[in-house]
Amino acid sequence: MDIVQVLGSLISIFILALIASKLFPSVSKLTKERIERNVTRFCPNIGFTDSDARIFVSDDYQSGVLVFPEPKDGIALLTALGDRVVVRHIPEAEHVAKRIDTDTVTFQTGDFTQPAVKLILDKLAADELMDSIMRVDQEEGHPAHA
Amino acid sequence: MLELPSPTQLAVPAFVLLVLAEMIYGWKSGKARFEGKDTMTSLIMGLGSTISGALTAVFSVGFAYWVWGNFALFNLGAALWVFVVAFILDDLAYYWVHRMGHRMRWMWAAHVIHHSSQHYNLSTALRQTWTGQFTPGILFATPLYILGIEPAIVFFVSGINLIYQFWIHTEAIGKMPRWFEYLFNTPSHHRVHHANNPKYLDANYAGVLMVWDRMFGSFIPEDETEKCRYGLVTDLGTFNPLRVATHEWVGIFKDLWSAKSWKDRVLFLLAPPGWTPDGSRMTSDMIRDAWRKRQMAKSDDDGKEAAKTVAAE
Repeated sequence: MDIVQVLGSLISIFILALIASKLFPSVSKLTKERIERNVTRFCPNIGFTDSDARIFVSDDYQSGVLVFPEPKDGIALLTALGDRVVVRHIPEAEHVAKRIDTDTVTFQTGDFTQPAVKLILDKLAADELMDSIMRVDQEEGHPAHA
Repeated sequence: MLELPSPTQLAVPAFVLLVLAEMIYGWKSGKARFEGKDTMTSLIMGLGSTISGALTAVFSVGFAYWVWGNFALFNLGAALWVFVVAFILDDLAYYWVHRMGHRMRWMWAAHVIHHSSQHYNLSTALRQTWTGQFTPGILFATPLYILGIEPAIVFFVSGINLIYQFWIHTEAIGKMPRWFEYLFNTPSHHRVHHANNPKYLDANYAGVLMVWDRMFGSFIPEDETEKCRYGLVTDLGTFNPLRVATHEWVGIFKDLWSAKSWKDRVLFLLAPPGWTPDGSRMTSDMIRDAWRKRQMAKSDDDGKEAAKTVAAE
């Protein structure tokens, strides 16, 4: 394989990816319903209903958090990846959540396959999310890191 | 040394045109779906796989010729029938290397790349490993060399096998005629293989001939009531090709580093993906068992409800 073949391949790759992005524009948004559906699929052994779980969706609709009703179950962290959804179950959310600003909460999971997730919320929602995570912390008796 | 062309290199222009054709067909019909960044990652992984294969060819080709030159029982030559026998035996070897690629974490570390897209289209076929040479996969073709088949013939038929597998990575084709579905790997069978639904995990490993799955008990047909959902049990949260290529290796090294005994270290390499000494993660067998229990509990509940309704009537 010579350099001409590599360059030709790279040009073809960029052209095909560009055509794909034009023909199939990614307009995917995370909604509460989508979060519930994906968490039900990803955590089938954790029972919850939409009325007893608390769901937070980032203002940019690219990330979200579902706080399970039982503190021991922790949270599910969701991100939109292109037009698909990626879920992580985090039993001890207090270890990974951090309030950055009045309206921003980040989750640094230390997972090589999941870059840091940022939720942009209004102040009240950000307070409520952090309170929910602290509630998990207090009821479980974990040391607080956030 | 027999001089034979490399079928996959010759097929590259056709691959590009067919990906484009599927894209346009999917855009018009809605029967295939792409995503720009996902397509870019898949194709970059394909290019990287070709480059890594070329860089390490001297070792893989050297090893194959060393085995053939020193341990071959017969000299089978290069007649047409030898190509046919080589194709069938290579397909059998592919079945086992592929099966072990799902059942042994060391080999999964290389193969996981191919399953890391949440999309299923012709670009997914090109999402290939960069690190297959660092697994025991290279050993699975050695019986063919020992039998006396020249490595160049094995590489040639293996290339034909890979070209065959390109077209089955699509949602645009439903089912082929029944006789074809029985004998050969098809888009329907391979969709099941790429699905992460608990029902479909670890099934349909065949390359070309579906008989291997039927013989060795790993065949699961596509169920129209259970739509395939593609990707990994825990999907990647990134399109970064370097992370896609190395993530499972990183996971293995972390586990080896923190393991408490040498037995655990060996099992972190040789046991199925998801194995841990304390059972804190789930293997595909555990996921499937949990799913079966939920299904049984659900059907028990449905049965009780039906009995209540009958009693009330």
